[in-house]
Amino acid sequence: MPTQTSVDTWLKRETPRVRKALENASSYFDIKDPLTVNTLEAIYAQESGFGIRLGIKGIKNAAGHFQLSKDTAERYHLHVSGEDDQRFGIDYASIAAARYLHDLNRMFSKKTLLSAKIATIPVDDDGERRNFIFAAYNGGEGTIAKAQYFAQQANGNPAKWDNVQAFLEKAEADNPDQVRKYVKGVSSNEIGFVEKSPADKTAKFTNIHGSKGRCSKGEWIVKDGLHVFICG
Amino acid sequence: MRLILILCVPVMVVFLCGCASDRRQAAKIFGNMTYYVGNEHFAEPAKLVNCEYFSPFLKLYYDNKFVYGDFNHDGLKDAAVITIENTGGNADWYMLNFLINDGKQFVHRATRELDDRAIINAIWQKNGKVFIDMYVHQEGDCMGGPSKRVRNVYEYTGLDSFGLGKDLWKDAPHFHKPKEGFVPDEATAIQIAEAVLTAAYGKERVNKEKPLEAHLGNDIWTVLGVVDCANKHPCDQLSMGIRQDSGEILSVSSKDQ
Repeated sequence: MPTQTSVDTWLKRETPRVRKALENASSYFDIKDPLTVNTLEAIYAQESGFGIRLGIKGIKNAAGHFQLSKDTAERYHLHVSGEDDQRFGIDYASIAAARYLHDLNRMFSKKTLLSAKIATIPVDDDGERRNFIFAAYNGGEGTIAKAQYFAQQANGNPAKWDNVQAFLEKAEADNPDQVRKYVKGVSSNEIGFVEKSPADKTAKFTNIHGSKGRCSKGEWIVKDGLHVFICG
Repeated sequence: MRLILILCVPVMVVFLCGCASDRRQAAKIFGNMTYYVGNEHFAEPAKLVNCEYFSPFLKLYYDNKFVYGDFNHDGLKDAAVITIENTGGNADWYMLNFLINDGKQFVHRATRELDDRAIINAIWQKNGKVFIDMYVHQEGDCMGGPSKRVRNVYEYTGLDSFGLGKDLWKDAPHFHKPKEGFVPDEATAIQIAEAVLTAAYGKERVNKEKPLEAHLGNDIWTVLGVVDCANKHPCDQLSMGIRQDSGEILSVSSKDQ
């Protein structure tokens, strides 16, 4: 797991091009989200060490700059194939990651039904909610929602990460210790990036995409050898 | 040189086709069977279809990496198979599954966790143990880049409960366990062994080696058939290990003396 002392090293790898991509992606966060460009930097560092370890193109498993699974990437309209895998493009990958984090934030802001039996329990405190978002990015929202349920059943506070993380084993997390370490690692990285990163923290307020950038219907075309999603 | 090439190429082609055919055959079996995913708190049977299983919060894939071997030392060919588990986030856990041959089919009996996003270089077996050469995470690695190369050894040590036993019996009433365990004496051990060995090797074979003998050592009953090996080699003898406390069957074999 990376440590906060690595933040300086990662920032050396953050070229103006990468910084711009992350700033643009942060505009997909809502103003009310507790997430900023520093959150994206922290996740980017934790997942691929700022693009150092990307994995194999086209695979179903996690791959690319933000280590998104094929399913998650396609949910956010990225094209995934052996020849053209947009998880390996920093612009596409950071936007998909930002939208995914935004959705996770929404899921843990209000009660959200994830399946017939499982729903999240709202976490009002912004700082606490970040822990739930990071945990879900690694361990899955269903697992975290189940841990909340078990915490509540045991008269714990389902909106406090310290209470909920104790029930990850019961909630079927594949490796509860990794989820705990992941939350600590990303939180620690984020603090480091807030202090040291020159990235524009206000970029999220620009909302350059408006609602048009978030179309859900459309079609894929190939332009200049690349797959491009055209809103319908 | 040319002649060597002419002779070698067909051999290589046959060898490669053979490997591909083995892999296809393995994928048909291991990619279409039930695996148990779980721990002491839960268990979910996941029936793979075409190498995949999807439920709302669990995805399981067969990774086309496997090795055959006799992992429970009963003389039958078992398999050790790698699958990938995902519970909805981006963590992809590589797992090693022991599939034990019960005489009719492979049955998933135990699982060992390898690592999240492990990079598997090679898998092989020797003397009933599975060896895996792979990269796993170490301090300082990002999630996408395990960098520590290890060569780990995995052994089948008996059935995992996968939480099934616990859940099934947790509300059972009138649970009584004798002070000396479920197999308190020689007579009980022999009765259990006779029933199990008869199911495994047949009544005729067991009758030949009666009366069975049982000895207790380290809280384990070893039950042996009685055979005269003086003028006979190899000499097979029925043998069985039973845990005194729980009654768990540790081994069943017809071993060469």
